[in-house]
Amino acid sequence: MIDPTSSAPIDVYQEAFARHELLYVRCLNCRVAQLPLASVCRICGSNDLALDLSTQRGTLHSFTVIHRAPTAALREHTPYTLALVDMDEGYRLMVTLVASSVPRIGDVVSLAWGPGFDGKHRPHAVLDGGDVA
Amino acid sequence: MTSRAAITGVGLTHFGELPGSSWLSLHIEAAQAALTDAGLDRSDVDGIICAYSMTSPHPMLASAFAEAMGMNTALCFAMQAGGATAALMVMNAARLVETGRYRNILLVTGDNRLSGMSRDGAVAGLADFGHAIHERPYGFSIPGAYGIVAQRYLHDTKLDERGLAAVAVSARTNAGRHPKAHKRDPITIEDVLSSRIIAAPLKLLDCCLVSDGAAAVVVSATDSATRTSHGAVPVLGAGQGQTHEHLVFAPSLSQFGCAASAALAFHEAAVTPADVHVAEIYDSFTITLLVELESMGFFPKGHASAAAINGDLDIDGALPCNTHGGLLSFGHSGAAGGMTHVVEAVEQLRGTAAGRQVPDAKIAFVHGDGGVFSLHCSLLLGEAR
Repeated sequence: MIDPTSSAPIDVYQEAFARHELLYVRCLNCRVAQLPLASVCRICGSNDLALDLSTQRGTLHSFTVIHRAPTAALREHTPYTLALVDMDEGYRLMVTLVASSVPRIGDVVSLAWGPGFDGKHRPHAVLDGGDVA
Repeated sequence: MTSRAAITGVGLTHFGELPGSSWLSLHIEAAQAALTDAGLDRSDVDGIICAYSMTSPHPMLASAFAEAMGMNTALCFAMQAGGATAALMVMNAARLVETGRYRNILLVTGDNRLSGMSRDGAVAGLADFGHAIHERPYGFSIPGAYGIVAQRYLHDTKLDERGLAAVAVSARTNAGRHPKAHKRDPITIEDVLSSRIIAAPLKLLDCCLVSDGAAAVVVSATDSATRTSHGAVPVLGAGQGQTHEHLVFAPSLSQFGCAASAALAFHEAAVTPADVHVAEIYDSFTITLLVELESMGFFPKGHASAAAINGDLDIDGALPCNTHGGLLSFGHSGAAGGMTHVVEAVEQLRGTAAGRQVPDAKIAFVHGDGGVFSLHCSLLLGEAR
């Protein structure tokens, strides 16, 4: 359970993230899995939240291929695919998607870690059987 | 119901590239036009509500505007709710005059977003809407977020992109009939489909413009609305709704807070979507209009697309939409973009929308959407009297 008086939830998330682990919270009252890590459930308002580790697998909920980057720093990376993934635990994640073929909504994906746009290692969705290119 | 609040004046600048303009010069131009239209002197105004400027952010924008106008009103503050701001300003002003404490509230929006910060600057600034931890590091952009919704829409409805394109074509046709619109040259569905990809499936012509421009509105207590020359347009109903702020945390990509905001507004006004003669609905992207029309009950899921292709959303169609050209073609300059929807609804209800008038328009629906389908405000406006 997240103790709201200890380190900020965002620090807890980032420490695990640095180990390539993805944390999420599940509300012990309404059972809904969710992000971001917080001290209150977005669904029912309960403070009884349990931390858990994601299996880092899910299905593709939707995606877009961005050809026009919002910033100059991102321009060299276009086109890139921005995806929403329904994780097996029941929460949703936004990540980049790396695929050699055209993805389809409903595709099974897993997360692979590699350099993100800012150089920091981040999760990327890959189609089942794929790898970070 | 008997409305106790009415729109008594509207003011609109040209939209487009307005060199030498500033947020303040545009605010003043639109505000003075609205006051003149309402037949009011600035001393008649006892409330000011402004929004925000992305080009020149100011922590007390309404106060800075009041200072420049030499106005000292009993009420003066700024609001910020992205694309829903304008409709929310009208709703809150209506609620305030309904208390009987305020008589005439001046609502002013405007920014020199095109000449002051460029299209690149505006797109970069909008990316800040993304969640700092869970969206922005992955290359989030506002067009990208709407592209994700559009991709899901096409998947769920098994439709192609022609319905999206038809929305852009209709908006451009309407803008061609408005002398103050930013883009007036006609386009075809093929033009939209062949324009360059921004965030697939959305293409350049699926995206709203970045413009300079301003719009202002006066909301008055109905019993003091005696000097307007065109008639006062009653605020029949209003509602707000939201399901999320960040797209990654949205519970659904097809049902949004617009369903709740519209239901509240329709209930208060005691009318239904079938009663609406003209709809001015936030159209930051072509997908925005289709999803909102369906989410709010104007069409079953997937049917707004066919309606757009059939011309049902054109001025002579069953549900004329965005008769001034909307954000897609009239123009978009922050909160003022949404206020153009309010101004156009008032023009339609007064019967003064020369060249683009919907015959016998007596009930207008106005809708604003802030964020990525995040925060919504709906209005129902009635016949001028």
